[in-house]
Amino acid sequence: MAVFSCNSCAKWDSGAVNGRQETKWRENFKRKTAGKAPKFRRKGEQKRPVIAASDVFRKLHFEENPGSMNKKWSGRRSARKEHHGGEGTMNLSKIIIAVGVFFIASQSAMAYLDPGTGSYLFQALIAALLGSLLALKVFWHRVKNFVRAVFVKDAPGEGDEKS
Amino acid sequence: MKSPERLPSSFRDPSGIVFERDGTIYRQVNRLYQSDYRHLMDSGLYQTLTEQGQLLPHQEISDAEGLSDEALLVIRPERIPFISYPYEWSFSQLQDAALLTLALQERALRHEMILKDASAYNIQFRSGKPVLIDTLSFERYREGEPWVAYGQFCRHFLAPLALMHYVDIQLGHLLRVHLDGIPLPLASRLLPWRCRLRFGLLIHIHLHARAQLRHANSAATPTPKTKRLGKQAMLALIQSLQAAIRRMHWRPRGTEWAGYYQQTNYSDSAMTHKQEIVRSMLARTSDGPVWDLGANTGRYSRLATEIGREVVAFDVDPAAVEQHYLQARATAESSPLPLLQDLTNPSPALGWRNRERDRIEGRGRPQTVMALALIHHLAIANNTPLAEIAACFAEMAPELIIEFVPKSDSQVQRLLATRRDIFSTYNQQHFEEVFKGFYSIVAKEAVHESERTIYLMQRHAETG
Repeated sequence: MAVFSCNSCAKWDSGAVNGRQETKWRENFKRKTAGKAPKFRRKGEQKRPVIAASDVFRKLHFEENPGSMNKKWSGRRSARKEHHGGEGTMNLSKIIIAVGVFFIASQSAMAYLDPGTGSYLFQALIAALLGSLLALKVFWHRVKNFVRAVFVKDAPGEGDEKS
Repeated sequence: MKSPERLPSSFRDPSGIVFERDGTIYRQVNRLYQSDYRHLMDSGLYQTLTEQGQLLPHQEISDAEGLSDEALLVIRPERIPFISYPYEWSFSQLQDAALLTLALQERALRHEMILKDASAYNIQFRSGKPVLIDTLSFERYREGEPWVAYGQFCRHFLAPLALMHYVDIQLGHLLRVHLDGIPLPLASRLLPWRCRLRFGLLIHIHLHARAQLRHANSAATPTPKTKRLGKQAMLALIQSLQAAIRRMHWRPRGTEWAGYYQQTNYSDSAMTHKQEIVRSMLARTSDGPVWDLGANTGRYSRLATEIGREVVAFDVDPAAVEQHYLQARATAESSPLPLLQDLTNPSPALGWRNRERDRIEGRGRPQTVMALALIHHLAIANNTPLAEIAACFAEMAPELIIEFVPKSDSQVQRLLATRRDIFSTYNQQHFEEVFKGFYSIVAKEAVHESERTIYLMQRHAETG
């Protein structure tokens, strides 16, 4: 099934798109756009009786491959490959996958959260910070006690606090 | 002799099984837990914790049969009079349970052990104090490994306490919806912005919640570097949690019942007389547990504990339960167990297959029910027919001490002030007629200087 096509595509030429017979505007469109930069709506052009989505896909393809309308596909293997198995098709599948993943992922995030990994990694991080703060606090107490021992008589000595 | 039955709540921990045989609770210790159990008993940790009343003592039953062939041995823990759940506790009860869990973790670390779970359901109240009932919660500490129960601790204790402290005391009810603790992202959203200024809450709830969300869908396994957590860092983490929990408090004010005893129409002599009546009626009841429904701060519940009865004191008001608990904690020995309970919507059966957490009546059968100054709240405020109330009490216990409060009483007048009086049958004669359908009246006494009457009733043999 050709969901995406261009004027040099075999399926296009065969006249069957989505199993339908090619309409007159397609022929006109092919003729008018041959050798020109792609344009989809021209002034006075007949409204295209096709599925809107396929227009979007076609536009996407031509925007990404300007001049592909001019290319003669026959005899250019790499170009044909690029056209049929390459970027245009990939972009479409990427979009579909991305949208699908977005919805599936956002639904699963609402329905189920696994707090295990987050808590596990976060704990290691935060405990290291808290441990350092505690060590700093102990060190500060020692400094304070040392200073007190030097300047104040009968004050508790450095070794009094070993927490 | 009945065949032993595994308790429906005991299925998660592979270390053992809790089961009931002939009305006694036993705990099977599995071979899998052998080295941990030996270390718990031999390192001195068990002795220290039981001496301090922090862990429920048990006896090893040498000749008892286990429930499965994985059994290493069977232990019989001391009996807990009534199993309660965190969503039935007042603020201070949950706070004390949290502090006990951290104290246990700290103490266990000194003996090279660690708590492998930090579930609030592992804590129960005995003589007004919290105690850990799950002996198999301890496992050997492996230096460098993080505390696997850290997330669970925050969900079960820290988040509900913070919500009760910073938002509303009634958010404690969220624990009934979220049985494995309040999800931290939810708590983080509900808490006001200002609590981010508290360092403890900022890290243990807000940043913790963000870390959980970030890794919610990640399959990343912790690397050895991130896994490493030294003992000092672990102790610092525990101290930080302790500080965060100690900072929170709740002072009941402006709640429904907080000043109830000051508002009643009882004179001092009427109050004394009521106490005398209740005391003498309690003396005429048989031994067995007492449930005081609508206990307020437990003035009459204590009369039952004075004569050696086990008492569970229910009330709908968190302020009353809080005050009652603080008093019970101060008096230590033989005090009632105050619990939050709405009689019009009591604790249901919850959790896995609706069996993990039992409904309130499934957890014990009282011998005597006390319903003092309660009937007008059920009959008038909740529109419950007297026959329904009588049937409910008769289902609970064979003996009933009940106070009838007539319509002319100022408390009833207050209830009727803003509603149409559709309670034409609410009078003492009708009350007696209805209750005689379920009970025989053993004694009946009017309270001096008041219009109220207290009854002692005995359930008919065929009822219930």
